[in-house]
Amino acid sequence: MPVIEATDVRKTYRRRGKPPKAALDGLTLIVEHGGVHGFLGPNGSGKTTMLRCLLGLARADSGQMRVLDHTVPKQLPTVIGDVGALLESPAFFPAFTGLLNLRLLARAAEIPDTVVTAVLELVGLEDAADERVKGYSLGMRQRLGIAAALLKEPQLLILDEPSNGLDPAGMREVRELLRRLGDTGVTVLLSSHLLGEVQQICDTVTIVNHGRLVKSGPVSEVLAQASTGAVSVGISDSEGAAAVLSAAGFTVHLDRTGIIVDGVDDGSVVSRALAEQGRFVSWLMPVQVDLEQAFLDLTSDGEPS
Amino acid sequence: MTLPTLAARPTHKVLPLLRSEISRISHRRLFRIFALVLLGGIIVISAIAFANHHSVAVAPDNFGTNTPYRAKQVLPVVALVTSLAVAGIAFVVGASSGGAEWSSRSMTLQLLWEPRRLRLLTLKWLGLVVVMLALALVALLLALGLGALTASMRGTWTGHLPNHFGDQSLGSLLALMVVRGFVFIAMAATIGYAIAVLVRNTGASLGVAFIYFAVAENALRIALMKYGPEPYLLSTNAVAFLIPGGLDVPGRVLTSSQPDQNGMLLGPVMVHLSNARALFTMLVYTALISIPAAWSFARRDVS
Repeated sequence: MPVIEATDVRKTYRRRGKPPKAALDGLTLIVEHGGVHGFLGPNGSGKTTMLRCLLGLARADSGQMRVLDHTVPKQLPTVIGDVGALLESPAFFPAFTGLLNLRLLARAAEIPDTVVTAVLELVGLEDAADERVKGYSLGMRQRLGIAAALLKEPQLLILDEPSNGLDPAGMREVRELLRRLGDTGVTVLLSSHLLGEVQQICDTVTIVNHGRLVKSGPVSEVLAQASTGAVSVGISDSEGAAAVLSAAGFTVHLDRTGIIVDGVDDGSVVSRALAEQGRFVSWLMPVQVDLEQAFLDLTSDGEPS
Repeated sequence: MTLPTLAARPTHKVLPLLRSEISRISHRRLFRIFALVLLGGIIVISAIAFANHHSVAVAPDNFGTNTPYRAKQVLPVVALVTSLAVAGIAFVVGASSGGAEWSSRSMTLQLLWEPRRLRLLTLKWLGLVVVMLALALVALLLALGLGALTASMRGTWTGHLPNHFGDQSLGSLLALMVVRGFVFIAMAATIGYAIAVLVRNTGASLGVAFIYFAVAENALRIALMKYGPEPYLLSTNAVAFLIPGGLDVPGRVLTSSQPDQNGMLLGPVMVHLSNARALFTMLVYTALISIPAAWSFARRDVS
């Protein structure tokens, strides 16, 4: 049973003096239980709007949404205790300390103060707990937002750009935390622009553009589908070897490390063609497609595939 | 790093949420500053009154001091002024706490904990009213207590209430004034908070109030003088509600072909605004602002 099951969700914003803008144009988002699910899309692709609709902050025009097997927004009050969320920049009373902000949230839900202390330690804010939030850096606010989302010990954690403002060490800690949560049964939905981050910690990914689903599935599958089938060849006389391969019918071009041979499923045919001409490769490896390239390929034309 | 384990799932009960809201408002710096200034002001003014009155009348100076502190004359005024001051604070704190929740986006965060918007709004409003009434209680007890002390030591409990207050006892008069003061303060807080919920900004909500009281009411008085808008204005009804017995205000202007005994061709009809009528008018104003605010809060998207 998916933890999030949203199908054909539509949301149009009316704009004064401008034509209406479809933020969600029949978007479908399925997130299975457990693990970390990446939610990718360019700016304005509808990611945050989708999360807002799921969390009852914005009203979808149409579509079906279920969270933890409950229809939302109607049954959101039933499941909200199991959903932790951080949307965009965290929102706290700036004149209150970090500790007081969390305590007020926790007390409203009868969560003991010991949990507040624990989540502050978890995100590394224990030393700054008694400082006013307005004195916090963006990264500290982000950590406080994550702490607030974790207060409920949620089954589903929805995070929108949680690494915003964090330094490299902080980003690494958050990634480790999310990965660990994903491994221990919590389902993490991570909306992020940091494709490397998504590739590192996500098991599955949904890519959206123009409010529509572009691609969804395990990260490895998305990468495999975007694979170019190119191999990179290292050889002593690159130019001469490239001429040999061209004459043999391969599509080649030189880069700073060697030769790139496109459209090759099996690297052995390249090494054989070169060996037959008395040329021997130093190394040969498939060109890896990273998520960034896959993302750009999938979203560059502006239309879903 | 490990996630803490809760002994029980988070609850969504009313009382913890209300307590949290009361705590949130009472921790606000603006509220604390206002409360401190109000209570400090009451103490200072009471001390001045104490110093300037004598139990035995001596020759009054140019400022009318050196006379006994007359409880039946002064204490109703003390109750009235204190209620007005707390109501002003309630309006500003209501507008400011509502506006701050939007500007800091903490309203968004709270909706992630309690998505039932009307329930959350009601509890927030209730928390505000409870805090403001607690301040009102402390302020009125302090002001009237210090006034009573001054009357006992430097004044007199004898004498008559002002004529238009009727022949009730001082105790019942003050008790009714305090009750009306509480109702008025609750309405002031409600209106301030409701405007902030509508416009989602502290400055804009205070601006709306300023424009209404400083510009709109006066403009209405001038533009609609012939139709006598005074009995329907919020500020007039506020005063009429707080003053024991109500207030006589000018109403519709009558035109006559014959001059009256003063030789005037025009004259307003005096309208008596009883406490009950003034309360009704203020409730209508409160509803006119609060209902759209609640509707908007329940319907509009939250960013």
